[in-house]
Amino acid sequence: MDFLVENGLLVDADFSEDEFFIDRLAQVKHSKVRVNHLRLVLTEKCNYNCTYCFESPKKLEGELDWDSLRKALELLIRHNKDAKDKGIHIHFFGGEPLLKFDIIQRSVDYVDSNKGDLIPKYHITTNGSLIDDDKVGYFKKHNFRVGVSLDGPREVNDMNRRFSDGRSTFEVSLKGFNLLKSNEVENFILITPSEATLNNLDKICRWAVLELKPDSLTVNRPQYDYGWGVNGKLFSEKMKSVLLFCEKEGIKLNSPASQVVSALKYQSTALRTCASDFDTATLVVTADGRLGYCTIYFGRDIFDETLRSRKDLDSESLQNWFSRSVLDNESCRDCIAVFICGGICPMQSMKRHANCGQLVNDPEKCSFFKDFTEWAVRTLV
Amino acid sequence: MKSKGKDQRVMGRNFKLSPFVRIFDKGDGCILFHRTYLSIYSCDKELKKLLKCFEKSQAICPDNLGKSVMA
Repeated sequence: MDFLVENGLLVDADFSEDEFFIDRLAQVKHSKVRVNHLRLVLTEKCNYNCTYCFESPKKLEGELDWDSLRKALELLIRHNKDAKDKGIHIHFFGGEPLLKFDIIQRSVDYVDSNKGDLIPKYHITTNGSLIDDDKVGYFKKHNFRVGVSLDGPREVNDMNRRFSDGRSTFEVSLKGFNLLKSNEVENFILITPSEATLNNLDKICRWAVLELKPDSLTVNRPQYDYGWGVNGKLFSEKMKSVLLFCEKEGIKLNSPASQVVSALKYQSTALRTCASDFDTATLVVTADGRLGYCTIYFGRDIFDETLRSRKDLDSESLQNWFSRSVLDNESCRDCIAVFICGGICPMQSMKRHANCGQLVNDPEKCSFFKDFTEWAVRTLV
Repeated sequence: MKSKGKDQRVMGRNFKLSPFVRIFDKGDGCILFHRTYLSIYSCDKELKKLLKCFEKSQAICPDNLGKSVMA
């Protein structure tokens, strides 16, 4: 009895669930978030034309100008200079970011010259097609973590990932990845599930681990449009198999499934939406020089904060954005995954309903997190 | 986790199962999951019996628990 009470499993008969949530919500509203990670959309251009890409339908060709990029880096450094944790993360993204390799080099030079005692970590997500010996040498010298998007064996990869003229991208991406591997650059393979590939996701991941031997494997969240676009229950089933396989092979897995496992393992409660990780957060800088309050880049149309006029990364609107909580939505309060999934995605709500104040569940995302969390609880004990 | 019987500190107070706790059957025992603390406990069959009493009832004072568990 004593144990049950001490660990909150039994509560006093007059315990109020509402008061508990109000108290937790107040914790979120009154704590500040520090931005220690920028995702920089260097260009919207790409030499591939992947079917699921958020850029494809819009045919945008914007490129981030140096003045805006330098300003973003300057603000990131200034925003973190007094932080206890000296780590900052700079993630080059696109389109295909290696189309702007000169800008990447200029950015790294700028950060290295101005970082003070901060410790920058550079990341890049690329299709791998433009990786050559020179770039590999550069990545190695500057300790980059390089992710190559490759969706599986040729027949699977080429279902969604092709050049604009329809040619296969498989060999080209694979060649780039192998150059990273042979030169021991920190790497990962990024697999994006889609409705067409979901049935074989477990086999695809096994293939990637056994054939490509990446340092780690990332299974993307299904690409947002007006929802996850894949069956959440089936995605959960497949990820159970992928997770167990990666554990057996001793390979690190990043995915919505590992988000659940990590939360349970470390009892790290997600009180805010998934856009922020406890007290730190990622911002995206769009190709037209605006700030977006989300790790995930949804295309430029969703953002309205212009970077050039900013004096600090921090702002009232930023703190308001990150004060959103899973508990803002009544429909989440009874869910088994309430403090794991980050709740309703305000970005996705904005995409679907043109109003991020109106938070609406994505049933497939909910289905995934509920099913996977219950399985993980039963399995991990 | 095993049931240790009634503790002096909980005597005379009324308790209910936390609304944040989910109980999953597992053979003779069960798994307890606290969905706000994200804590997981494996329970033996004695504790499972005890928890069943709390599941059935709005609130229980441990003083009256002995009979329920035995029943």
